Parts: sequence; C-alpha cells; structure tokens
Amino acid sequence: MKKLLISAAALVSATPAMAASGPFFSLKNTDFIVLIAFLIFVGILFYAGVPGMLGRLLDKRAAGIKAELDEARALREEAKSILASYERKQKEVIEQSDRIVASARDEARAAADRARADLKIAIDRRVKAAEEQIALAEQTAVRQVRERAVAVAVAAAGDLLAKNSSEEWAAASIDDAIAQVDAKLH
Amino acid sequence: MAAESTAEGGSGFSIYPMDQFIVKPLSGDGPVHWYTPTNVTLWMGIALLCIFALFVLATRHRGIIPTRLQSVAEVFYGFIHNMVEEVAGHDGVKYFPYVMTLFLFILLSNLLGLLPMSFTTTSHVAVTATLALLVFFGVTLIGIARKGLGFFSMFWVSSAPLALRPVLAVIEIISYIMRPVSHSIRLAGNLLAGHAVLKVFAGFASMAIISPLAIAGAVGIYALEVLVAFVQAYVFTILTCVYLKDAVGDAHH
Repeated sequence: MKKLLISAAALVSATPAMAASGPFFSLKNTDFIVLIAFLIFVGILFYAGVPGMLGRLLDKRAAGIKAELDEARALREEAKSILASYERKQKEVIEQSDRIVASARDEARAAADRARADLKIAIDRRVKAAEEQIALAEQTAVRQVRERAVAVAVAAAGDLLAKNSSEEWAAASIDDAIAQVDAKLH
Repeated sequence: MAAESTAEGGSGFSIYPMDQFIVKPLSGDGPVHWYTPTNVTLWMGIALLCIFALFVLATRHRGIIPTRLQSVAEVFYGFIHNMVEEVAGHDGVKYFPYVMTLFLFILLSNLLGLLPMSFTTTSHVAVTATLALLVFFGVTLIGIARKGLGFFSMFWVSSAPLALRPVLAVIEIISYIMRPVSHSIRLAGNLLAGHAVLKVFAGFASMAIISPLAIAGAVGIYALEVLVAFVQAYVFTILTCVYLKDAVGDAHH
C-alpha cells in the first residue's frame, strides 16, 4: 500500500521537481534527500521495534476483549446452570407437593370411607338393637296379654264356679280331685 | 514561487522549500480552474481512500474480537467519542460523526503529507480555513437553533461589573469571530513550517560534506513531524469540541 502511494506520488509530483532540479538520484535533489531521510526514519522505527510494539499492543487489546468475552460467556453459562438447577429444584418441590397433596387426599378419602362404613355399621347395630327391643317388647306385651287373659279367665271361672256350685258339689269335687290325684300318684 | 527569486544566492544552495506546496493540475501544466483535478484533489482522494480502507474494509468482518486494523479503527473511534463527550458534553455527542470526520481527514492528510514527494493538503490555509469556517458557521447555527437569541448571551459577561460588560462584549465578539482564523492558521502553519524546514534541511544536503548532518537533521524533523501530525489533528478536533460546547452546553461565561 505504502509503496503504491509512493510510486503514485513519484509519478505525480516528482516529474516537475525533476525538471526543475536535474536528476533524481542526486544530493542536489531535495526530493531524493527527503526520501532518504524518510527511509532512515522508518528504518529507525523498525529497528526500535515500534511496529512490533504497536502490533503487540493491538494484539493485547484483542486478547483483553477476548478474555472479557470469555469471562462473560463463562458467567452466562454459570448463571444458566444455576437457573437450570433451580428450575429442577422447583420442579422437584412441585412434584413433592403434588405427591403430598395426593396422598393427603387419598388418606382423607380413605378416612371418610372408613367413617362412612363405621357409621353404617353403627346404624345397622342400632337398627338391629331397636328391632330386638321392639321384638322383646312385643313378646312381653303378648305374654302379658296372655297372662292377663289367663288371669281374667281363671277369675271368671272362679266366679262362675262360686256362683253355680253347692256345698256338696264342692265337697264331691274335692273328693274327686283327691281321688284323681290319688289315682294319678299311684 | 517566491522561493525561486531568492534562489541561486551567494551560498550556492538551491533551496526551494515552498515548491512542494504548489498546486498543479494532474494533467500537465495549465490554468487551475475550480474544477481542475490537481495534486490537492489527488491527495485528498487518497486520504479518503485510506479512511475508507481503515474504517470500512478493515472492519467489514465486524468481529467482536477485533483484528489489528479494526482495533486501530476502534481505538480512534473511542478516543474521539470520549473527547466529544467530555469536552462538548452529553448533548454534543450528537455531532460526533462530524468531529470524527474532521479528525480523520486532518490526521490522514497530515500523515500522508509525510510521505516523500507527497502533497500535504492541510498545509494550505484554503483547506484548513474551509474546515474551520464550516465549524464556525456550523457551531453558530447550532447555537442559534438550540438557544435562539440566548446564544448571544455568552458575549454578555454577566459575572463582570456592569460598566465593564460592553467592553468585554466587544472583546468577546472579536475573539469569537477570530476563532476560525486561529483555528485554521494553527493547523496550516504547523504543517507548512514543518515541511518547509524538512525541505530546507534537504537542501543543505546538496553540499556533500554536510549532507550526513543535513540528512540526520531531516530524520529528526521527520520524528517531530509525525508528532505534529497527530498533535495538530488532535488540537483542531478538541478546539472544535470546545466551540461546540458553546453551542450545546450550558452558558457559563
């Protein structure tokens, strides 16, 4: 690039200068002297390692940018993995809570079923007891009615006997009864 | 061609240190019209090509990790961006592209002028005055557009005693109008003087006995001129930012 510029410059501006001050490669030609001075100056710069130094500085800048980028990328990765782990944890916690809720619901349902069954058994038992009681009361009532009927019948029979019988019939019947008992005992 | 009349004096040196600044048409000799392509045109074009190469070709991969040349472009970009932000303030960053353009054009013109037998476009007041006037009018128009007539209050030094203010206002206005003069002549003068001195040293080399000394001197001037090329581009740019601050920053005079 630089060489191209120099040759272009030589083409453009050296021609009239040469015409004015003779041959180019001459101490009398100031353009030639300036060129020498320029080359020496550039040579000194190269000898002192200025281009290399500049290149190193630029490379260092690029390396610094790269290091910063890498660091940023690493931080991003780290943040990403932390986020992922938290998401995983969250998922686990959600699953766990779901499980807890489900098991609680199952337990509650089972308890409710059990309670319902217990209640049914209890009700059945009460119903049975009540039925038994009713049956008992019925029997008792029937017996009482029967006893009462027997008592009434006996009383009525007694009254009838007392009203209709005479002394001899009574004595005869006693004798008869004794005879009966005597016959039956033997 | 003032140098020609003083040439061939008693000393025997034929030194034409100003010949390098002659504007010549690219195709032979002839009158230079405003449209004539000259060596100025050529070297400005080369400067633009170099800027293009550095900022378009070297950065075309848009690597996040820059190559060396892209790094150079990034360093320049960051340097000028910081300068605009620090000197002209946050509102001045809007005008960063123009400041960057000025800096690159001046820097590349200065550096290309250091090549032997090249032409230093920034050694011509015509070039630097154009740049300085663009900055001057640009800053003035931006200032008026942003602050209206309040822009002119910077000439009225409210912190000075009332009796002195009219006098100070006159001085401030003159100094404001003189800005493009100093702005342009500083750059052109530095470049012109440096290249003239280089040629004078080269002229002394025509005497064989002192030619090593003269060439050594020219080498020294080269080192100085590289410094001057950067410093003057920097100075022109930072002054642009300072002027820009008047237009966009808070008035503090």
